[in-house]
Amino acid sequence: MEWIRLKAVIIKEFKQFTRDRRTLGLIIVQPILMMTIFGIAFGGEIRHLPVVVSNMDKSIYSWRVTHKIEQSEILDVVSYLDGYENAKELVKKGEVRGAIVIPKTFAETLTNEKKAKIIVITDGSYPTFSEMIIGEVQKIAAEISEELTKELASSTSISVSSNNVQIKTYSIVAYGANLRNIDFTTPGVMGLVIQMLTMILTGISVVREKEVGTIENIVASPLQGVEFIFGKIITYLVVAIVITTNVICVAIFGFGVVVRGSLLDVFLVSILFALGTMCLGILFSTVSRNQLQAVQTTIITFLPSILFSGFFFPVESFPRIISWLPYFIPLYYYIEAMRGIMLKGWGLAQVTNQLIALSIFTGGSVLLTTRVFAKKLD
Amino acid sequence: MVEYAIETKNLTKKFGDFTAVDNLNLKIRKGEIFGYLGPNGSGKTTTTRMLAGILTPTSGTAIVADIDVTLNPEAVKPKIGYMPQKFGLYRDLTVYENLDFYGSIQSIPKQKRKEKIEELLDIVKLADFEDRLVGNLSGGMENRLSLATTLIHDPEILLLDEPTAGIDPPLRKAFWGLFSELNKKGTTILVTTHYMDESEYCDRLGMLSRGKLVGVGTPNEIRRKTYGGDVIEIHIPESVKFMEEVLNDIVEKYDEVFSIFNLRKINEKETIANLIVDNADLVIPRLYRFFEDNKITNFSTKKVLVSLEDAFIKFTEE
Repeated sequence: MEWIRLKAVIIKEFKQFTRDRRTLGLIIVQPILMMTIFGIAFGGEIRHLPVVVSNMDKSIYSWRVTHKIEQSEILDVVSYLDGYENAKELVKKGEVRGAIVIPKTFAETLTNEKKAKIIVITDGSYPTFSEMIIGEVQKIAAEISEELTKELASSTSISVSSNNVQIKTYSIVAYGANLRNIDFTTPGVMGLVIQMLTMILTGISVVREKEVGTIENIVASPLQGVEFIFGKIITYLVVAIVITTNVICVAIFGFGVVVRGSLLDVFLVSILFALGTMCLGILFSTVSRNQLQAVQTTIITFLPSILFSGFFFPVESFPRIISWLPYFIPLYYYIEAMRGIMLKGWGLAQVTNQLIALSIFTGGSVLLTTRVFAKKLD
Repeated sequence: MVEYAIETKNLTKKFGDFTAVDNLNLKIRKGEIFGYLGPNGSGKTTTTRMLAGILTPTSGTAIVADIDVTLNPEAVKPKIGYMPQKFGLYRDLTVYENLDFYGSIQSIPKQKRKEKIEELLDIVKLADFEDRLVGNLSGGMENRLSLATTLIHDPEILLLDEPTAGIDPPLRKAFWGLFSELNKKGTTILVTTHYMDESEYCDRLGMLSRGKLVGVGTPNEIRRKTYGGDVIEIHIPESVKFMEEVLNDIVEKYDEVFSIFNLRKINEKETIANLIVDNADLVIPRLYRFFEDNKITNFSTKKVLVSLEDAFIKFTEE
């Protein structure tokens, strides 16, 4: 790589970029528009939340409860264990969305006092999930209370009103409460907006040169493929920084979302993610034959990104056959990292895995692009 | 010291079943202007692209500027100036910015680049338009700019794919004047065209038909090859029948007269015919003597300059 040539590409790209008013509008107006639309629109139905069950009582009554939990469409029991602290720990680590603990005294208090309690531990950084889990357990508790009341009434034939069975749920939030739904969905919305804009912008960049015919002069010159690609990446990185800043500003000042971790971390991870999706866009652009194809490829990636990134549905609850899918979706890592930093106050050290994954995506795309980009017309 | 600037051996390019360039053996001498002629789709662009190192040949080799393009296409690129048939400069950059970009990717240092750009803008007469966006240039200006960018690094070989297509005759003439000047400085030029009048400016021509080289030579050699000899026109104020008899006698009598063609009457009393002969300058005096001996008067005869257009059609239709 030679600086004079690399610089030439960067300067050229910048000039072309700033002269295109529509694209300029795209990076300024679109983030605001899309953030607003997605922010308002998203809040779909949630099912299959992964939970653990700790049945410390092991009586016929508690088995009735666990049986009902198993049958729930909303809850997905991933494992059983014994104890309270270890169940809470799993929730804190983010391995499950909730834990349901049936205390040792469950059957005892139920027979003696016709009262019992179930403890529900949830992750407060996912308020929607929390509410869903608590609500579902409350529903189950109410059902069993009613069943037991009826059974008791028929067997004793004593006045019903004084014999109501009451199973109550106590919810414990593993992470800070006071999170609104928007706090929870915003990391996903941010990622989606960043991905869409960077990919659409870069998705056109190489293929446009093919379509307009400028590529013929480029390939016939001594400019190296790496210089051509890196010149574009560096230019678009600046564009990505603008988009990302824009998106974060809307999230904080527009939506007023909680940022418990460092703002700098939010920014850095977002830039890394933007770089990754940008490079992916350039890769798509390089392998496409025309602009339409490039845009289509880019759009096709959005659906799996939305569905399999944990944006709506917790990835832990996916059927086994597609459980590997999220690992191939950059947005999945971004959302995980962002929820960690923004909602749980995590630092970069706690999202190392996500950072590594995003770096692999970025590096992989760049490597593939430079491999695929041939200085040929055939 | 290699004599040829460009030398191909059995250069072939196939696109699926279609053979665009078929076992091409082309030799272009250093310092010549070589006109590459052929109808649309005959393989001119494909050849030029292969020589520029941007299209991989199916088989065969091509040596350009002493470098085997098939093995090392990147090494050829700094040495050639390639002007594609389709305009390929950035329309959203200005004239100057385009030149600056192409100068930079040729690794020309800033100061030298600036001087070179000024020089080229003068040569192609775009100095007044250096700040104009390329998208707002006329067709002729586009071609001029495109040519200027191929010259920015003083390439030793120019590969110009229809540089004069779609531009007006004065500009075409100016282009050829420029080619000739560059050529005087030692630049080898391969230029494709289908304007026959332009091919007169070339040192040598190559006629391409369906991917095959069907004729190579100087414009005069090409003319001679068209009919296999010089062409003479004879005009006699007699009937066609009479003319036919006379000419048959001539063909029989003289070995250097090969054949008659294009015998046609102007009116009942006047006839014209063409003869293909070995050497018109020797044959014409003999014809005079023959007509005198046979008491034919009022005839006229002259050497016909075969147009390259005829040559082109004759070569490429076969």
